[in-house]
Amino acid sequence: MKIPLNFIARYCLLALLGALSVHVKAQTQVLVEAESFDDPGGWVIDQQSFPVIQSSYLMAHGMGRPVADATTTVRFEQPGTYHLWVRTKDWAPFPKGPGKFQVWVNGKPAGGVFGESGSVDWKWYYGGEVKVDEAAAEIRLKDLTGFNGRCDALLFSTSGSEPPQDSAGMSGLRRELLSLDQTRKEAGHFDLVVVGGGIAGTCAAVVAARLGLKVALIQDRPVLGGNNSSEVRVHLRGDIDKNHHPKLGRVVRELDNGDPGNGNPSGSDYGDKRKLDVVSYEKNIDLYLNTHVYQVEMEGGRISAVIGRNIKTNREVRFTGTYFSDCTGDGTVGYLAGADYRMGRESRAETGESLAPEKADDFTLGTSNLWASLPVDSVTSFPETPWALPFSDEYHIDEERSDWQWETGFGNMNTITEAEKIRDHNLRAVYGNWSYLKNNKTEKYGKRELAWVAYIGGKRESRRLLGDHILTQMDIQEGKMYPDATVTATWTIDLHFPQKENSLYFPGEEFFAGTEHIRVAPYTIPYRCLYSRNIPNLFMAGRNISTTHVAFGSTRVMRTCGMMGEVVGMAASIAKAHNTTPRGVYEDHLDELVAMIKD
Amino acid sequence: MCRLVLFISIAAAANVNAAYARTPHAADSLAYPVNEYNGISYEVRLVRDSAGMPGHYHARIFTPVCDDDVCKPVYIDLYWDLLGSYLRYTVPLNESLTKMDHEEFKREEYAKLHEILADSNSLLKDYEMEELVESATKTSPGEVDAVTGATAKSLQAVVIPGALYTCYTLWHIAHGRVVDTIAKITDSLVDPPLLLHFLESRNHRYQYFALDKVMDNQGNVEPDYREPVINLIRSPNVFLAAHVLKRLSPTYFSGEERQNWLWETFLGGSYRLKLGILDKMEQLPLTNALRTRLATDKGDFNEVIAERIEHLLNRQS
Repeated sequence: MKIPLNFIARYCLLALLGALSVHVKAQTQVLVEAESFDDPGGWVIDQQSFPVIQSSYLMAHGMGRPVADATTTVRFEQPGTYHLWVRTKDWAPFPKGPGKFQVWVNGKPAGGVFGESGSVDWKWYYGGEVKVDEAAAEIRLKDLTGFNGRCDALLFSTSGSEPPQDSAGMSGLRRELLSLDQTRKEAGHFDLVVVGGGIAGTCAAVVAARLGLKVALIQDRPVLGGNNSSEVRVHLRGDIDKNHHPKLGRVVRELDNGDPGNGNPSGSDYGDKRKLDVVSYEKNIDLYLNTHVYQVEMEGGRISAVIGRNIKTNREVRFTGTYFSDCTGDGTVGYLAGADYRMGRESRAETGESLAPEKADDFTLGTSNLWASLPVDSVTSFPETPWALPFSDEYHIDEERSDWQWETGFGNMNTITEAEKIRDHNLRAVYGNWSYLKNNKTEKYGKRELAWVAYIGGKRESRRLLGDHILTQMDIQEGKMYPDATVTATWTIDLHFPQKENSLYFPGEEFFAGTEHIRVAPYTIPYRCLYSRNIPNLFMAGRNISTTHVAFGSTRVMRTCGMMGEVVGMAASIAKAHNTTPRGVYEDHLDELVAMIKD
Repeated sequence: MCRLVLFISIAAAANVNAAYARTPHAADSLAYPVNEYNGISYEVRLVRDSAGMPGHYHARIFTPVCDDDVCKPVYIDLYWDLLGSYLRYTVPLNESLTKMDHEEFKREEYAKLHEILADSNSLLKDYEMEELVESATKTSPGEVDAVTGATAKSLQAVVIPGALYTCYTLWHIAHGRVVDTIAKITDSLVDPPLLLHFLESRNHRYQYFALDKVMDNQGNVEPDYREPVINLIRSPNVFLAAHVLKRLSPTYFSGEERQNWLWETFLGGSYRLKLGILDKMEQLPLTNALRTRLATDKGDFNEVIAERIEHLLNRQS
């Protein structure tokens, strides 16, 4: 806690006022979370940096066209003069970024232009003094460029002193001024709490619910599907027609909306509604969308509860449960609970894998922000983007839409702690290249416009939670059939790396990937890869299961991940029936699990 | 008529090389033989522009295109730049391109063929004919992906349906042994006017080619070429600009005039070039005038640049 003691002493009274997340402290400080604005206008809510800045924020993702104002009404108990602080950053300080916006209070701009400071860190910027004559003031965020300006929060303070700049201090200020602890709600007790509503988590929740478990499904976005949602638009891969246990894959099939490929300009083709419908029909599932889980409670080495915060309202919810399934992709729940995990590549000596590097390192596969353009009737313009990556006749990507190769974060940036930087690097590549095409290849691109650019990154790799078995390249290539064989996987060992030519032009700043597909015969994933080896009530499904980096290269595709979720749903029902742990299912009730999968 | 329109559009598509897309009127008398991989032979000729400067290369080609059962003749004119990069094609009057079922190419298929031939990294490069036929005919795009993973973009995207053999054969001719032949011929033609022409061409392949000839390993440049080489630092091609800046000997940036020029370039240059110029300044004794400007303006950019300038000034003091 970095808040100075005198600060606490001066403002010991808390007063929560009507509007959501607009909170006044002894009439001296009003914290307004941008994501909680009454009307976000054209701004979007981004929660991807929550692990770093402990908050969501609003972003003006207009693909180069200013978005509609975000507006809200803030209530002040006392009219008077307040110091305005704006928490923002310059997301592309090369040397100055394009994310410019203004803050208007009661119809007038306050404090000049924000978002172009040349500094990439999230900070409070002083917006000058504003006079508030009435009880309510209208606040407006006015985007000036459409190029991803962002605002975390506004602080109105009668004190002239600077608010805490660091993340920990901010976290404390937020907790106090938003009364997070006092307003937290209890969601209730669940047999299975599934954190992460991607394909794996959704399948786990649906199967468990159908087997009679009371399930909470928690997803940090407004839609289900994760990388296969309309927000990311990666198609489902991995076969389900070669299954050793043909029963698996049934829920995956229900969620599958057909194959629109990667980055299709038609978002509806990815079937957000289908996925939501499948879950809505399950009376045993309590679905919590827009809820980011960031804290766990432990009892006797087990997870007893997880706490999520709504990415818009900032209201918190606590979920208690018997079993938890980490389907977050990042292994967030496991990490918070102290589960054993790995991130990066193991050494060849450690795993004995021929595809492993000589030395262990931090290398991961990257994150994609896909994009697509569409034809329009007349020639349109697109701005020059000096803050973006530079392109020329010598090197540019001559494409009308993206595919999986648009990818950043090959060990040069941490896919969790630097997720924002990775996404922003992707945006700098997309916009820089598109600007080049629009301004220099007008014959081909003049009558095309960006139809869609993902602002949610499609992350491939981060933590891998360790189970009682760690799947390896040898397991895959030798087709080892363990007694607890469950999911059948078919995808190649598909380990991306920076494409050679891209590395030549952007050394250390690569954004385009290559791969070599090492073909595999259909093989099976042991059940022991689907629960934590040291957190006794934690399952996992999806890309964060227990594998080596090399094996992950094959298990990570979404139909395969979905089937892992199905197995977790079944295993949880058996665990509950016998009042045992995920490991207990393997040790004492494996026949029952296998029978259920075969049924 | 239809075809005439088409050829105009193809020439326009190759607008990068528009300078060389003129009607040949001064063909070199010399013709150079090319013996291609599939057994065909033809002659490639240098075509000069109106000023007598080497312009491009041209060859009229006759080749059979065969599948398992039948062969058909294809007549085509191919054009390359002076370093052997494919530029465009035309079809002689009274000839046409046909598919295996003898149906004539549609207008968009003529354009598509140009796109296919213009892609020097085409998937066609790595495939044997037999593999290609199997992949392109026996699987749908989705299945190709499903079997081999996400890299195998649909092969159908790089060929014209029904004209697989034509695409394959012509691509391998356009990117075949002729490339080496042309490189050898152009090498034999190199003289100061051609090098200057290359440096000022805005064609990065020509520019890199010339740079290799006029700059030594220490970054020294012969006097006649010095000015045009230094000017490349202001090229709109940021990669070329950064390359020249990095390689050029620091001795060319010691005077006040040249340092002013460097600072003006810094102000107008891309971020990448700005960082490159600061790198270069690390190798230079800075004039007082430049030091003053650095000190005055260092806060106008971002934290990284401010720190770099601070370092420069401290180093020099």
